[in-house]
Amino acid sequence: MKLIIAGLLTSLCLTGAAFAAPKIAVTDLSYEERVQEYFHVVAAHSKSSLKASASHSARDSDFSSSERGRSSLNAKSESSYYEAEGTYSYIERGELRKFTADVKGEMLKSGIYRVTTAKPYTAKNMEKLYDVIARIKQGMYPGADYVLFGSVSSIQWRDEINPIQGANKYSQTLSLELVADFNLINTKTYEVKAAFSAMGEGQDAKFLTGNNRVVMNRGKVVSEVSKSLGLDAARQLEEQFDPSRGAGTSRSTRESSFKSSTSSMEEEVIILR
Amino acid sequence: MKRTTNFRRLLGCLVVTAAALVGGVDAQAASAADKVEQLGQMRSLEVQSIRIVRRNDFLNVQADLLNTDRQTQQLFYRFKWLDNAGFTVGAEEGWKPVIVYGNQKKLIEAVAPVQAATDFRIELHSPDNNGRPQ
Repeated sequence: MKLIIAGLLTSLCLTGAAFAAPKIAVTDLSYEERVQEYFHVVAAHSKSSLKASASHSARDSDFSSSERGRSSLNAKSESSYYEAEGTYSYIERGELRKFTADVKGEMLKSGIYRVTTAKPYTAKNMEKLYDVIARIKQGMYPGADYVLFGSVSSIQWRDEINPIQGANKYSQTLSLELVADFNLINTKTYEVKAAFSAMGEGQDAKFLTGNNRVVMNRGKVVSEVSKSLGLDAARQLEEQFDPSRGAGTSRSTRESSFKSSTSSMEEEVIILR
Repeated sequence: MKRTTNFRRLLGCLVVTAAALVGGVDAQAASAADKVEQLGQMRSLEVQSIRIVRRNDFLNVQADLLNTDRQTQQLFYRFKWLDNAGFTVGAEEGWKPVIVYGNQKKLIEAVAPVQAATDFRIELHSPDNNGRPQ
């Protein structure tokens, strides 16, 4: 019996020594957006001048008389008008310094990973934002074995008012959906160890009963989005890259987890008889 | 042997309590009758089933009524919304009139006015159809 316990303890120690939690740096979510701006320019310039002069002289003597008069009028007007309108578009890139705290939090909760701090991208040249290899080489992720690079695929706010069936009332819903792509990249070999897209969603619903004016709780929505994104991202990361388990999960496990995540979204109807 | 029986009983109690806690609304009421408050005893109208669902964080309730008589019945109803502690929430509703024809099945439905509402009661009143409360 003692021998068995000793053996178990030794094996536990050995596995503990063999598994060292990898250090992962999580980047801020980068985004790229085409921005279109409308412009309308009107420039008008007008200049006018009027110059009038008159002179008159008369001379009179015993023998002669003369009279001389001169007048001149000079008017000048100049105007110009310029109008132009159109749209110009440009691509804006940047980093969304939100929504990643819960991703890091969920990774830490799992106990499989250690999280290191990544330096934010502050360079003016945003062209290099998506060049992860260059950023790794620049040493923006000190001490990290892997970088979880995230970029925003879609972000959409929705503010909807819908009638409630069977009642002469409305419900106002403010919701936000955020989808982000994540790539887990090895900082030494640049190998992609995991890649997935994760979604976060949150909503706030209020009841409109005619004349009442409601203010939607935006903070609650953002918090819900962040939390659900963190859960989804950490779950998928664990499925694809779990160094404590060694081999990856089987397809059946993944399918069952997908089914459970979709079934939780179904409505739970209670029928009383 | 006795100890095992006691343990099983305790386990059974725990399972029932856990199921009641998870169930929420249905755990508080075993049947539709527990959700219905009648003003007098209706002879011809009966609540056959009640469906409850939470949509967009608001409790949605739909009750299935049946007129077992061949005569048309006048019915008045209103919902009373309760929070987790059993206190009423939202303003008191007015009575809503419904005509239920002979042998007709009628659906009445309502949405809770506040998200805090987790339970409800349906008050029913049918003036020409009331017997004495039993």
